[in-house]
Formats: sequence, C-alpha cells, structure tokens
Amino acid sequence: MNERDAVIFVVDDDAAMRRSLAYLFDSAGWRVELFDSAHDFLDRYGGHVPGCLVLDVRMPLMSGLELQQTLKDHGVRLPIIFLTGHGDLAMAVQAMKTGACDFLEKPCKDQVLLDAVTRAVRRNIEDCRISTQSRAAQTALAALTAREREVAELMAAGKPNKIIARELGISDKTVQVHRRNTMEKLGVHSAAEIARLLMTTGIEPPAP
Amino acid sequence: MLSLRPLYRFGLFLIGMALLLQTFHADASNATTVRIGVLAYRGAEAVQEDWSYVRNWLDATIPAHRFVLLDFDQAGLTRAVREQTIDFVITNSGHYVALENSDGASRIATIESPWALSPRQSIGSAIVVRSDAHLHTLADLAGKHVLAVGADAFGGYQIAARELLEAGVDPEHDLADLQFTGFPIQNIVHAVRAGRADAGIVRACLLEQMIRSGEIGAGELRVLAPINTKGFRCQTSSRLYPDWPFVVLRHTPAELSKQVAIALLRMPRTADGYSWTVPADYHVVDELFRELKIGPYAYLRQWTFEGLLRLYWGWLLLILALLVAWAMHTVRVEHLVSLRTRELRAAQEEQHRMAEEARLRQSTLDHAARLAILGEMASAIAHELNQPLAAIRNFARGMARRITAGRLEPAPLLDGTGEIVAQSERAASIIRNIRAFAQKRASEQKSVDLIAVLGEAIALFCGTHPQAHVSWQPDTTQTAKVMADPLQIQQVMLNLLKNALDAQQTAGHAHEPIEVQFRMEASTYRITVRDSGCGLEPEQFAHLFEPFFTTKPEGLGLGLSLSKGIIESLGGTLFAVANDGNAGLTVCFSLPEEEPFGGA
Repeated sequence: MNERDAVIFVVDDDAAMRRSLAYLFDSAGWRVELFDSAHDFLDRYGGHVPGCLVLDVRMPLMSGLELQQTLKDHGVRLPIIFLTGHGDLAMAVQAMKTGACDFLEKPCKDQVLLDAVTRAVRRNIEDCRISTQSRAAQTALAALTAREREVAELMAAGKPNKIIARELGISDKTVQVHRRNTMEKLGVHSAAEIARLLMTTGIEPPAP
Repeated sequence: MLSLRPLYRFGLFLIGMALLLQTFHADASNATTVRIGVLAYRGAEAVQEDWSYVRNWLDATIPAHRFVLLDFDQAGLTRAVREQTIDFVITNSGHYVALENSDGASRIATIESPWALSPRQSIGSAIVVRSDAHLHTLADLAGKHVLAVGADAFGGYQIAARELLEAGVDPEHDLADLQFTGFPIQNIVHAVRAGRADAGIVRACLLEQMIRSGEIGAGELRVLAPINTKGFRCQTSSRLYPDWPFVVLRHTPAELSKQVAIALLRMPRTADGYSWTVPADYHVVDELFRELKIGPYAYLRQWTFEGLLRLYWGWLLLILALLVAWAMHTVRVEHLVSLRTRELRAAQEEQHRMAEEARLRQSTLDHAARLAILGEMASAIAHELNQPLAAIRNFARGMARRITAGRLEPAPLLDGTGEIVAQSERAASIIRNIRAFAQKRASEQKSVDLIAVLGEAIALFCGTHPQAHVSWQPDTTQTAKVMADPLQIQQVMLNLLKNALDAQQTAGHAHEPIEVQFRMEASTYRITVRDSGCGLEPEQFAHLFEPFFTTKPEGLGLGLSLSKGIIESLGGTLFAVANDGNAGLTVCFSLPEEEPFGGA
C-alpha cells in the first residue's frame, strides 16, 4: 500500500469545480473520483484506501459536515479536507473537532491544496498500516487461550514469571509453558514485543 | 324776404288766372297751347316781363300754337318737367345740366346776352359786399354771415360755392351762417346793403342791373375779389359758365322742337341785346357739379368719409366709443385668458414636475431596494463568483504543473484552456446579471406573464442559493397577465425567498422546501411564499413593514417595506400571516389581472 494506489474523492455540487479539482489532482499525478453530492458518495464509495476526501462544505440536502458525521458514525476513517467559500470559523472548529484533516478556503493556493492532499493520503496510509497491524495482532490474540491471554497481558506489564505464577495461582513451570506457547502464537520474541502488540489493538496493559 | 312771399304767390295766382284765360282763348281759336316753363329767378312778374318778347316771337312764327310762359322756382320747374305739364324749359345752365342728367332734357339754343361776347362765358356769380366791409379775398368770408338764393341756385349759389371751395372755404361748414333766401334775388342785395349779412351771392350782372335801374346807389356795394374777363361787361367773383339754354323735353314733339329751334335762331336781337344762338357746351357745368358733388354727382357726397363724419358724427362717435370699449374689453379678455393660460400652464408644469420627481424618487427607492437585496445577497453572490474563479485557478495551475512535468499531450491542455474560457464566461454572466439588476433605470410597466416572471425569479434565487429548496409547481397552461415592471416583481419575489431562506437557516433547517403557490381569485392573482422558519414574535409582526425594521444582523430592514410599496403601486396588496400550527411565516401578495384590451 503506497501513495500510487491512493484515490482522491472529490464531492462538490458544482460540476465545474469538480472538474477543475480533478484536473489539478490529475496534473499532480493523483487518481481522482468525482461525486456530485454526499449521497452520491455514500452510494458509490466502496471503502477503497488509501485516499482522501475533498469535500465542499456548502451543498444542498446534505452538507459536508453532515457527511463527515455520517462517515464517522460508520467507522469510515477517510481523511477529509474541507473546502469552503465561507471561511466560517465556527464551521471550521466543528469540522476539525470531528476529525477533519484540513479546512481550506476557496480559492486556495493549489500548492496548499496539493500539500494537504498529500498529507491526508500519507496519514491515511499510516492509519491503514496501523489498523492492519492491529487486525493481525487481534487475530493472533484471538488464537490464545484465556490463560495464555492472561499470561500475555501480565508479560506485557513486564512482570517476571514468579509474580505471574503467584498472581494466577499456578506453578512457575506452567507459566513457562504458557509463556512459550503465547510467544509462539503471537510470533514475538520478547515481553516488550507483546506489550507493543497489545497497544496496537488498543488494549492497555493492566496497572502493576 | 318773407314779406315778399304773399306777393309772389299773388303773382302766381294772377299768372294762373291769365293762363286759364289764355287756354280758353287758345281753345277758342283751335290752336294748341305750348307751355314754356321759366325759372323765375327774379320773381314771377319778371318772367312775363323778361320773356314776353320770346313768347310773342314764337306765337308769331309758329301760329299753329299758342305759347304760354309759366314761372316756377327751381324745384317747381323740375316737378313740372317730371309731371309733363310743360313742353319747353328756359332755365339756368346748372338746372339744365341737372335736368339733362335726371330727365333726359336737351338744349336747342343758348341765349346770347348783351354783356357777354360769348354765350359760353356769360354766367357767373358775384359775391357782393358793402363797399366799406373789410373783406377782400374769398377766404376772408370764412366765419361770415352769407346770403345766397338757394342750394340749387346756379348763379345764385353753386358757381360761387365752387370758387369758395377752391379758395379753401367750404361754404357749407366754414361760414358762420349760410342763409338761402330764395327768389327774388334782389332781396339779397338789399339785405347786404342793410347790413343784415356780410355778403350775398348773386348772379353776375345783377348788381350792375340794379345800379342801372337805380334800385341801389353806385358806391354802396362792390363785388368781392372781382375777376375781369375779356368781353364780359360785369364784375364776377367766379369764372364764367354758358348762358341759359332753351330746353326741350323728352315728351316734347320733335316737329314742334324743330320749329321752335328754327324760330329761336331766327329771332332778331331784342332791344336789350338778347338773342338765341346754337347751343353751347355745358360740359364745364358738369365739372362744377362734380366738384361740388351736387346735382347728378350728389351720390359722391353720400359716401365720402368727410360727409359721413359731418352727417353722423354723433353716431360715429358712439360707434367709435363702442369700438374702443369692445377693443378694451377684447384686450382685457385676451389679457385675462393669457394670464389664466399662463397660470394653468404653470400649474401643469408644476404637476408634471412633481410627477417626475415622484417617479424619480420611486425609481431611486426601487434602486435602493434592489441594492439592498443585492447587499443581503452579497455573500451568496460572492460564493457564486468564487466558484468559477476557483475553478479557473485550478485549471490554470493544473496546466502549469503538466507543462512543468513535461506532460505536454495537447488534449488535456486544450481541455484546460477550454474550461478556463467557459468558467470566465460563467463569471462574466453572473456579473452581467447582477449589474442588470442593480442598474439604475426607470421603471417600465408592460404586460407581463406573471408565472414566467415568478419562475425566473425563483430560478435566479435557486441559482445563487444552492442550499435552498423552493417548491414551485405552477400550472403552465395558465396565462396570468399583469401590468407591471417584471424586474420589480422579481425584486419582490427574491426578497420574500431570501427572507424565507434566512428564517429557515435561523431555525436550522435551510433545506426544508419553501413553498411558493400561485392561484387566481376573481380577477386577482394571489402568490404565497410559505417558509418553515423561525417565524415572528407578535411585537415583530407589528413592525414588519416599517422601513429599517429587521430581525437579521446584516439586514437593512428595507426589503419588506419596499416590496409592499412596489406591490401597492401596482394595485395589489402584501401581507404576512403566521402559519397555523407549524412554525414559520407565510407572506402573501396579490396583483390585479391586467384589464383586457380590444384584441386580447
């Protein structure tokens, strides 16, 4: 997965604006897909990553902000660059809070827009990479038995075998077997690696 | 003079008796009586005395007839001619010419007088004055008391009158008194001598005759301004005219005329020196009459301005006064009319000026209203202009990037230029529309299709406000004609839609449809704009149509008051009602249907 595969999704009700953005992005070497409304995007977007969404704030029926909220609600984590003719501060604040990547006033300098797009795509790639690791880690974690999962979490917390054995009320030997099986299943070689893997999935190690 | 009249009449009576007797005598001798009328200028007795020689000669030479002399004054003689009671006339030259003109008389002989060499120059007037009078020229007679025989007396007035007139004294007006005494003419001489008058006009030679006969003394009287004519033995105050003619009348038998004429020419000279000769030329008499405007030329007198003035000066003065009064009245009326006209025109001009001013004010207001709407639409307009500009920028930068990167395939570059052109045209068109709307111009009312105009306004609004959703389903088969300025209607419609959208945005649902409805109600078109916006508080309702009342932070508060003004100026109404139940406001305006004219 790299920038060559990224697609810029342009949603704007103004056809000329859509075409001009497509032309600009194409000139900069990006692949572009165009949508004339928020609904059009929701209908046709297949979850393709990496990429970013260039969104007009003011659109009939469903505004850019409403689309942003809808995408967030559906867990679509496509970075969004808002284009606005208004320069409305309140709107910008709300957009950024909801997780907008950028908020640009039309007409903006093409370099600024292209930089924003590049930034957004890279972020998306990074997000995707992280989320891929996270999914792999979760799969691996799912393969563990309940006891192995407990042992892994305690290992991630940096606890020695003896402590783990005492806390779980099992023998050192058993701990050693679980530890070996766990590291084998997760494909790691150290407790530190387990800790990082758990963090990737969003699971905080229990406090010592 | 008057004392002589009974005697004169008595004389006439005697002559009449004698005539009667003679007629009887003539009848008795089987001879026809031929009557000769004679002008009795010296009195009745003198006629028989003066002319008996002639009568006797005629009696003798023409025995078949008995000739009688009848004396007349001039008027009587003229009357006798007309009544044909006489056959011949002996009269003075003036009277003859008058008879010639009026009654076709003609002369067969002219008398030759002993005092004149030529019968053509033997009659004149002498103006006699006392020898001691301070009168020397004819002009001296102005303002004097003058006697004459009669207005129709030839030697006894008319001849002298001509001379006086030529001397600058109009005998009819310039004398203190002109008194006509009639015959006998000698009375005039006596009156002057007695001092009863300053001067007297008599036939020439009368004075000499009277001196010779001893009636008056030689040195007592003299002729005024005497003219001495060669071959004329008397003093005259005038030029000379032909002597008396012997006159035949129209009814006088030709044979008798011929006999008389021959007899007269054959008649030997009398003891006094009189005889008859061939008729003289009486043309000069005619001239005199013309100059005096008498006799046959009396008509000239009737129509001279001077004559009229003299005769009718009173009436003329009255007419003149009336004319002056009428002229003054006319002038006054004219003056008043022109004054009123001026006032009226001034009033009309004032009215026109005020109407023009009102029109200008209205157009300024309209203009202000449109600018106000534009002002309120400014951000929408800015957005609309931004779109093509941003697009142009994107295309241009995109092309630059391709060129920089060496991607010089012509197709995409040409696409870019084409797009840039299209977008710049789009921007220009937006600017053009706004300018047309904002332009200051006179409102022009014409017959417009209301549905089409409303449709255009809605399209314009939706074009500049993409977030707005206007519900508008007109019955396109219907035609709704109104007399209006289409731009004004669009202005009202844009204003109402803008208000509706603002209210809905405030209420947080800009995308809700704004309902525009159109229907016809008894020759009135009713348009409603219904929004689901924030609505109005009751106290806001009260001020809704007041200028500068606004609920919007950036509003001017002119839109609705101006819209109401526009609709009312078109004969319609505009009002707002709160929606039943639901939130929001409905603004309603009506326009009267255009009155159909002839062809429609």
